[in-house]
Amino acid sequence: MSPRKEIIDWKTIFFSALSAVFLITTALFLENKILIFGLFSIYILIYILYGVYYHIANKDLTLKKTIEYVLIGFILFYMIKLLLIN
Amino acid sequence: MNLLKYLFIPHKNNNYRAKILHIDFMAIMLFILVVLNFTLIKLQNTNVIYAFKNQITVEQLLYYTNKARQENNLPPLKLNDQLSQAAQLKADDMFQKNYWSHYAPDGKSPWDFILKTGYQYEYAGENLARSFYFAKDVVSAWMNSESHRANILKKEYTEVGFAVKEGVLQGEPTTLVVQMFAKPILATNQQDYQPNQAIPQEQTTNQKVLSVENKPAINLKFITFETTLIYLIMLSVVLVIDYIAAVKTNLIRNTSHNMISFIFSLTILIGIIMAVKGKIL
Repeated sequence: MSPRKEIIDWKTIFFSALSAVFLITTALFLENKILIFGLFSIYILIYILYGVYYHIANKDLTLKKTIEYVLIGFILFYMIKLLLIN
Repeated sequence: MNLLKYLFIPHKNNNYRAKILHIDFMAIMLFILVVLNFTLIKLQNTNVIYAFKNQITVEQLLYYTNKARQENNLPPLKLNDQLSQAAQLKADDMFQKNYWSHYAPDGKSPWDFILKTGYQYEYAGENLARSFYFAKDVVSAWMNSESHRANILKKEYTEVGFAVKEGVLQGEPTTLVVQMFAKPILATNQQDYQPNQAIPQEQTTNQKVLSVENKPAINLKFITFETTLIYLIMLSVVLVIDYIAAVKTNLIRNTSHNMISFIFSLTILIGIIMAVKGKIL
């Protein structure tokens, strides 16, 4: 049940892009890097949760997929930390 | 070539998924990032981790400022200790009173700092910048702003002073750059002393442009900055390549949704690029 064909899921692409526009617009109004870092951290958490939710909705969630989202999420988190805070 | 294909292109040898998207590879990358993060923190002797300490120096600022002037057929500015002291006083005041403005909340002007050092000026001006990582970017940002550019290229100015100070301004760890321009009042002019002030402003002298060869040979923070950005771009590109390859070849596999990860990574990338931009005043 877990393996699946890669398909172009326009609905997911649209909502992900919409959230991206929202995030970048919000970040533009924030002058403080700490606040921007906080905003991006929340965004990463949403990314992980959304990724997992996507597969739950498609009934094809596996541990491997969850780990992939968590790993990418943490990589992005540390990158933001290195670039914005350190 | 085979290694590149193995890392970036899905095919038989990497189980039809770019290697850098494999869990083991990502785990290694995460480990490296965590180690880098702790190393950088360890390298700092302060309680607050400031952005890219020591990347901006007075010598570099002077070099790029005078380079801009020479490109516009103007004589270079001479570094003046009193003006540098005035710039330092201004930077200290900004951190102490926590403001980002040419004028202090108590009404103190940039000229007050210059006069405090005993410097008598005929013309004077000030440029400010914060949260930049490199001296070249500071001067470029000033040159792209009409009023700051007018200061840098003002033919009346003959001397300049700089202060680069790190601290927490308005709740944000930052590197603050203060540039003070002036033309000293000539002894013969002192009777009709009427200073001209501008925010921001200029200079003149026959000093040669300093060469900026004193950049650190290896800067861990700079390398980290570049490497992190490159990896983020690489990750975004590979996610797209992997996705297209999987769609085109009708691959069936047990992986996360690439497009979700791609859009989120791209957003973070754009956000970071926007956020690391400094501000000028």
